[in-house]
Amino acid sequence: MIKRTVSDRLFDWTNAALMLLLIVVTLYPFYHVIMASLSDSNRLIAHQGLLAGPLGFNLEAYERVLANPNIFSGYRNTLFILVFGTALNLLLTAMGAYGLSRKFMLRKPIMIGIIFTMYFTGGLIPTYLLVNNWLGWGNSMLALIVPAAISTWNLIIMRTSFEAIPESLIESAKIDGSGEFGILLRIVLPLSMPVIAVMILYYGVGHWNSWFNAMLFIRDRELFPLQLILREILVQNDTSAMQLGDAMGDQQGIRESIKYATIMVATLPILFVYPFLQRFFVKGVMIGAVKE
Amino acid sequence: MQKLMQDLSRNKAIYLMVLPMVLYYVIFKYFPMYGSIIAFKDFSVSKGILGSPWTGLENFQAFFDSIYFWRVIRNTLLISVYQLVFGFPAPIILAILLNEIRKKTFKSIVQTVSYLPHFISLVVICGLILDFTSRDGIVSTIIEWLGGERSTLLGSADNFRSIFVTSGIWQELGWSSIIFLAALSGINPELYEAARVDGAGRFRQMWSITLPGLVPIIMILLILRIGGMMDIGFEKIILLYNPNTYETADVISSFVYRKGIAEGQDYSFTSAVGLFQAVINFVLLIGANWFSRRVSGNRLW
Amino acid sequence: MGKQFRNKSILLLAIIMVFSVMAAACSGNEGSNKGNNASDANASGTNAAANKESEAPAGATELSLWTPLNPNASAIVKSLSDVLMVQEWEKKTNVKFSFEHPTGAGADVVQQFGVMVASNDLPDIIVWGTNNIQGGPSKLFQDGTIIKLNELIDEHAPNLKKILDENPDVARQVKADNGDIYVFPHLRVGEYGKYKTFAGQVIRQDWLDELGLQQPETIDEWENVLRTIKEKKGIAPYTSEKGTLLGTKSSYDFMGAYGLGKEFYLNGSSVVYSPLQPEFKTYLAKMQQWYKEGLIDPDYATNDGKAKDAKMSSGKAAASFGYIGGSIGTWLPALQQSEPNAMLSAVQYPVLNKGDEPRFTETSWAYANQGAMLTSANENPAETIKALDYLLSEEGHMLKNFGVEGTTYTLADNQPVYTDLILKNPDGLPIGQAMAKYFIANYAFVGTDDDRYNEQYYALDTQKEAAKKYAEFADNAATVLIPPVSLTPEEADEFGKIMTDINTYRDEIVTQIIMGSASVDDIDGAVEQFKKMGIERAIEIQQAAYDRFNKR
Repeated sequence: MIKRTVSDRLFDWTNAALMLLLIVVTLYPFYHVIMASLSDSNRLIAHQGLLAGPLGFNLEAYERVLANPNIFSGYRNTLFILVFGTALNLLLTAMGAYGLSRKFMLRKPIMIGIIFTMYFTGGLIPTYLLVNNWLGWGNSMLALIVPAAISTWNLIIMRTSFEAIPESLIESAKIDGSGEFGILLRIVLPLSMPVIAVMILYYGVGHWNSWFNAMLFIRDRELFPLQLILREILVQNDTSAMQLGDAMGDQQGIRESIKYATIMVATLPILFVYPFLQRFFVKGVMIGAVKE
Repeated sequence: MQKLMQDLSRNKAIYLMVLPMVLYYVIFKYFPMYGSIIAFKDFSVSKGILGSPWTGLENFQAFFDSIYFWRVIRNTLLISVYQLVFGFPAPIILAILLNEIRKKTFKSIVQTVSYLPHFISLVVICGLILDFTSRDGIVSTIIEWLGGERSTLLGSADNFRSIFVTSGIWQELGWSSIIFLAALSGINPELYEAARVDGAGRFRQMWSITLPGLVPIIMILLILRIGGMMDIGFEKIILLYNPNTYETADVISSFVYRKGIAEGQDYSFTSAVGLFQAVINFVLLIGANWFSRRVSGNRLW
Repeated sequence: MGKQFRNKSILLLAIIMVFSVMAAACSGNEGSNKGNNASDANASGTNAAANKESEAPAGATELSLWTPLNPNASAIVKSLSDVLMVQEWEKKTNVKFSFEHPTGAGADVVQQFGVMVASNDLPDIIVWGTNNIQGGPSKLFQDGTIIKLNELIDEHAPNLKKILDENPDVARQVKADNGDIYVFPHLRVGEYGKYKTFAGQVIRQDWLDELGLQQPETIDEWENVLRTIKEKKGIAPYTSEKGTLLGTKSSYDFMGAYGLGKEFYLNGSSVVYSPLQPEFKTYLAKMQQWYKEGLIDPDYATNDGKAKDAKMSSGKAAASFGYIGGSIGTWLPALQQSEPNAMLSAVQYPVLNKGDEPRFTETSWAYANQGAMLTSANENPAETIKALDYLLSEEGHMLKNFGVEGTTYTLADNQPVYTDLILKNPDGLPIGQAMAKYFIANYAFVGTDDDRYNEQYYALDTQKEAAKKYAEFADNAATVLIPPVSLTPEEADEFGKIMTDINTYRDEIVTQIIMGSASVDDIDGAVEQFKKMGIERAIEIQQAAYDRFNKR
């Protein structure tokens, strides 16, 4: 065994210190948000800079946020989009990816046609006109679900993973008299559960985080997904819906903590599931990387 | 043709399966490409694509003559360059450093933590950025500690690009390193062993073994980056900018969004701008790919 | 592969498939619905109404109404349908409104309106300030978005007709050059419609007294006052907000003192554009100097309304432009909560030389380009007009401005007096919000204003004095402000295109100059750019429209 030299150890320590710094820099903003959301609003507004812990303890901001009908309807709409959008994503992506993993004459041209769209797009305006004016999906959930039905990147990941399934399995199923749909359902998909998990996660996170299409196409507040509500509160600084009936003095105080509490309420689901699902996300990148 | 018909009937099920996908691409990807021809027309919604009169290159001319032309080009390129210079090496360095960590648990903690920001929605991230860079925010406080003066950082055009690029690195650093880590896991450990026997130090090993192992993937990603030079996503821009920062913040895509949808419905003009951007991107991508194939043998296709 | 795993995965798959089928079915339905809607835009309006408000009484006409919610109202209700007066109004006129309120303010609302019109997904009624509409109502009419109201008013709006017949100068403002009426107006007319100035500069009077300063009249005095306050109080004394960005067409600051209107205004009988005037450069130089010296809030261009309110209510700023009701009425009580001796007072519109009379006051016309437009999707125009006209009747006028007798007001000597529900709200609401909860008096809508509301709304002495002070030179405004002219659709289209570009550019360059990142001389280059962008044509269009207005 080779002995570790001094410079070796010095490097290790520096490296560890750098990594610790990275952890702190990455996590501090989240820590700050949690502490600020629990803080007493009047003390929070007078405070500048870093927070070591909560300033006082006050859950009023959370009460306000949870009582806000917009947050509730935002959650509802986002869940709707998440469930139906992801289901449509999986259906189309799985069928397409399986098809593309099989041999047929138009496979190559179709594949080229798909790859081409990764490098050249029609752009925002024609897409907007298509969805809003020609399909007439303005102010409809369809505008948020269907145009995002397939992500080319995910399609390629899934196809790559399907291609790894031994041809012999599929051939023997064919001999048993299974059709292509049967093979997809009974052989390919059950063998591809990990990649399906990755797909659900990728598409799901995509739906959860998406806001721009909703801003373009949705006008009815009742249909706003959560991120659009968040944009109002966090970016446009509009917390009025949660301050019904406040006298002016109170408003200024509670406004800051409401912002933080809103971030928490909207981000907690991700923060909770993230540590458990993280390895699936990573797996997706790996599968994609193999082919690229 | 006959062969195609034969294939169609033999692989009916397959064609049926890919049909929805093909329709999706035709409708949502290729139709907008066709729709881009309104860039050469004076388009009005009531007359439709075909019914609107042709205007030739007038819309492009208007863009080139516009006072905003150089500004959006400059901003787009500058942000791209900053991202390339600072944002591109960062995850490579992180991956190399992570690769040197011996304690498996520590390594996986660092990884888990550093991937996290990638999953937080852009709206929340931008909300945080706006808050932290406000007059009373954390960043201002730190600047004050360092002897600077408090200000609303995103209220002035001077800081926009640095904040935009830095926060982008913060959010994507960990996640972007995965692909490099994947490449590193493919390097034969015996190479390191041999190097150590030869008396190569840690830096020497990183330089002669780790980095060369990453070159192919670095090249591929570089090609993609250069192909996307003109393509700064507008979502984060429009969440962070305001009229005071347009001077340094407005990029081609945000300009298209603002002129086409937010402020006016000048569809033809903005389609021309968008098309201009798409074509330049495509040309850059082909160029980068050709260059990389010539120089390093790595290529996208 | 374990059997259990397989079974589980098949179960999972089954669930996914079920969802997909549901999604397909669901989207299919929505698709066909939308298809119908697109072909018959009105159906979409009434469908939406039916979905949202299922408790509509039988026989009531269902109308969807799009209007941005006033901040006073949005602070206290989610939708106008929660407002008592609106519920009464619906009962009296047998209609059922479903309100669509766009979110945000300013450019956000403009965008949502643009998208709504572009996609032809129209409500039945649009209530808005028509200045916000690119090309104005005549453009909307030409595009087929809204309908002409003349015949409908003749037949179904006796109250409005009477007002227009009796007040030809008001009629002149409401009508387009060709005599068309596109907007069912919000008006300030008659015995109780005399107040037309609602805002001006406001300053911390207690600090003036403390520091031995007089109320500033001229720009030089302002400079001295602001400088003294800055030195003694350690704050940037003058604040503003991005919605009223200094030096732009929406600014409310010191431009008037330099003899400049905000955008287009009258010099004699010719229309001029303020940034082209030499005085504009002088004005910018002064603002730049003030900003550099720290007399102007460094965040003036990023403050939103709330940030400005917060600064004025907490002593972080000493002066700003404010509304007598909405601003003074909220700032002063909040200020006095923490500093009982704090006092605000109105300052006369500034001038350049001592003794000059201010001319550019924020004075509105009888018709201030605000009111209701009926869209082409409206299937019940007659009922709509009847319902709107009700607000101009004696009874409707009282309902709109004072609410329900016995609840929100009582009659004393035949004069309406608000009850304590409004004036001393038991829930502690500021008076503006208390009003907004029960009726529509303190912001523009449709119908006629009533000065008796103002007199009570301005509960504080400061406010009453402010009303007098701001009104003192109000009549001068008529000599410089352009009346509500109207453009032909072609003009409006051209004018809109020119001015969208110019306004964006002006906002940017002016802000850069004031903040010091561009030099004052850069305005010369900007003026050249305005000319390239077609400002002279825009002035020509305004001039022509003004000439036509005079001939109406």
